[in-house]
Formats: sequence, structure tokens, C-alpha cells
Amino acid sequence: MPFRFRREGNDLVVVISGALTFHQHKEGEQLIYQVTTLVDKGEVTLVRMNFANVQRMDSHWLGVLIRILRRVREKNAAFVIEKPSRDINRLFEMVELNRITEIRA
Amino acid sequence: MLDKVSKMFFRVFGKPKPSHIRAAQEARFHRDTFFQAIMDGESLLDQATLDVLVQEFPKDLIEEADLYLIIAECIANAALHGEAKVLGFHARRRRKILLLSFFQIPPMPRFIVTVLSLARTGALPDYDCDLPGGLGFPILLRLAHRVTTSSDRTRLQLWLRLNRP
Repeated sequence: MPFRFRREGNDLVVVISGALTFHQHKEGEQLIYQVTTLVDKGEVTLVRMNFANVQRMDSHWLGVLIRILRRVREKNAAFVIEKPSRDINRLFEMVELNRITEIRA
Repeated sequence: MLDKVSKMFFRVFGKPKPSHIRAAQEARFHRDTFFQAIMDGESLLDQATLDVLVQEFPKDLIEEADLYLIIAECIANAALHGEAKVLGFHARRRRKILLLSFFQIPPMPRFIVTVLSLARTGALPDYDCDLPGGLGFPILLRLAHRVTTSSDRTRLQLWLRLNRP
């Protein structure tokens, strides 16, 4: 699995790792389902997607991220992306992801 | 004709039909071609294919992160939207221009040309729609100087300006 979960108070920290491309589409669907399920329980107020260990990423996973962001906000929780590498941050800038969510260095 | 390029990188992934290999080779033959790979439909769905292509590509031409993203997006385009049974990847350089060309059988569906045209406007897709997507071409257009398709829709071509000598 390229991801694992950790709780820090009301924060849900999602640590993702590896290269994220369309080849991992099943994992993407799993991640959406698992984050949604955890947020549905109502105790999570902030979802923090930790990208410190993500080396590569493509547009398929940008779609996965955006879907998670929307589901999280539908449940009135907040969503941030943390610690993207220089290359991943550049990708986020290309598609102006910072317009729709906070990205923390 | 193809003997002249025997020193370049050439690799076949999977087991494409010999006729497909010949078609992919001849589609982009050029004396400046230095990198050529031919992939069958199954190998497009294997992460290892992408990893090997990036690993074997000359390191001094383009940022590895950009190359990875370009090849990943073009393979995804061919495999998921283009219904490719075979995909040829060719690279050639002329002075400060690097051409990355992707040839596929069968040709890309017409809607891909339309999606590329829309992406050329510079607009990004609506992030509020149910299934956000369509970011592939906007990304490619930000990485390359030009992105074009051939009139028969068998080729997707990216021209990149090289900053390096």
C-alpha cells in the first residue's frame, strides 16, 4: 500500500509514499474510500495529506487528490497538503492546486 | 534504412506483432533519432515500463521529473483513452530542440484532438465537477514548447526547447 493513516487529535494524517501514477489506480480508489470512511465517522476536522515520501505523481493522482478534497469538505472538514518535494510542488503549481487548497512546505 | 540507427537505444516491451513493430519504427525514422521504444498494450499498464524508459533516457537533456511526467501522461493517454494496442516512443534532437514523439496503433480517438485544442486555451478543468480529470494535456503544454497531433491521429508530438548545450 502506498499510504498509511495516523491520528493526531482531530487531525487525520495520511502519509503517502512512492510513485503515484495511473498504474496505481486501484490504490487511489482505496484511498478515497478509506479517507471518506474515516471522515464520515465525524471526529476528523482536518485531513493532512503528507507528501514527504512521494517521489513522482501524474495527473491521475491529481484527480484522486481533488476527489478526496471535495469529499472531505462535504463533511465540513478541512484539507491541507503537507511537505511536497520540489518536483511535486512544481506540479501542483502547474495546475494551480494552491487556488483550491492550502499547501504547506 | 533502419540499420543506420543501430547505435541508438532501442527496446521492445511486451510482445507486439512484428507488423506493429515495423510500423512504429518506420513511422518516426529519422537519422537524428537516438531513443526508440515500442510497447504492446499490456506493457503500457506495467509501471516497470515507465521506470525503465526514464532510467535509460539520456540524463543530460531534460529534467528527470519532467521526462517522467511526460512519459507517464502520454502512456496513460494511449492506454486509457487512446485504446492503443501498440505505442512507439521516439526521441530525436536537433540543436536546441528535443522532439518526443508517440506513435500508436490504432489512431487516437477524435475526442483527444478536441481535448488538446481546449487545453491550448490555457484554461484548467473545473475542479468542482464530479470526476475531475483532463489535466494531462494542460500539464504537457506547460512542460513542452509545442504539443501537436498528426492529421491521421497516429502521433502525439512534443517539442521541447533545451536550455543545456
